[in-house]
Amino acid sequence: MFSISFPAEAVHVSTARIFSAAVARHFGADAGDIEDLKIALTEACGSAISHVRAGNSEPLRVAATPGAGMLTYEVNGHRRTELLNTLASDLEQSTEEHMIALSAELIGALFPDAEFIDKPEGTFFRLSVLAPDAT
Amino acid sequence: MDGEVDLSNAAGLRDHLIEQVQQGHYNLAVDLTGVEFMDSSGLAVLISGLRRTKEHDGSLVLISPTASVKRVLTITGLDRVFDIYDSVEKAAASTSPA
Repeated sequence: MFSISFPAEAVHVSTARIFSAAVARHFGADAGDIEDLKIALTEACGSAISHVRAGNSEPLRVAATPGAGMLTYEVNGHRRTELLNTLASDLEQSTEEHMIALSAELIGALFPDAEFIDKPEGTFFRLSVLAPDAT
Repeated sequence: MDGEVDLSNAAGLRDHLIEQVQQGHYNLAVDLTGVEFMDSSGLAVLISGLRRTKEHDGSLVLISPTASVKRVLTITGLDRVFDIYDSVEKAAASTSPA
């Protein structure tokens, strides 16, 4: 497994993108799939950060597990399903409402099989990408 | 604009668009030529900017989005919401009176 942990702050999400893309590239993922992966994981991290601002202070962790020609990514966090009013200082309410809808739309379109799963240690966002060299 | 637009800097773009409208600039063109990545927070700020300009009978158009940005615009249907041009000159020409 490959993983990266970082403070749940927006400024670090680009690092998560670079990490995720590098792992996918290493295992032979298609360039287009890597671009989609970057978008979906960014949205998942953004969702988790929204909850951090709402009072949850756990670090963000992105993990990639290779196997059977696939890479499975997991991000600890939460669903971005409701307006949290926590970004009001940065982005006004209507903007956040748009963001929630757009985020769900992007993830759903790019990775229809992506899901939020509940584990004893919390909620995780999970998606898989084809990676021919991931055995 | 250039680089990446995400949750870490979307508020800066929002503030800039608000400032432009407050200064009376109601027809805005956002040049996306150098933007390699944009997430939902960036898209939402563009929508917010468009709404603000339309409140003054203005517009907000997008210039030359990269393939990556074009993809998120298409997936979300925003490519049908925004007018998109290849260059600032073409955008200006299309909005100038005949």
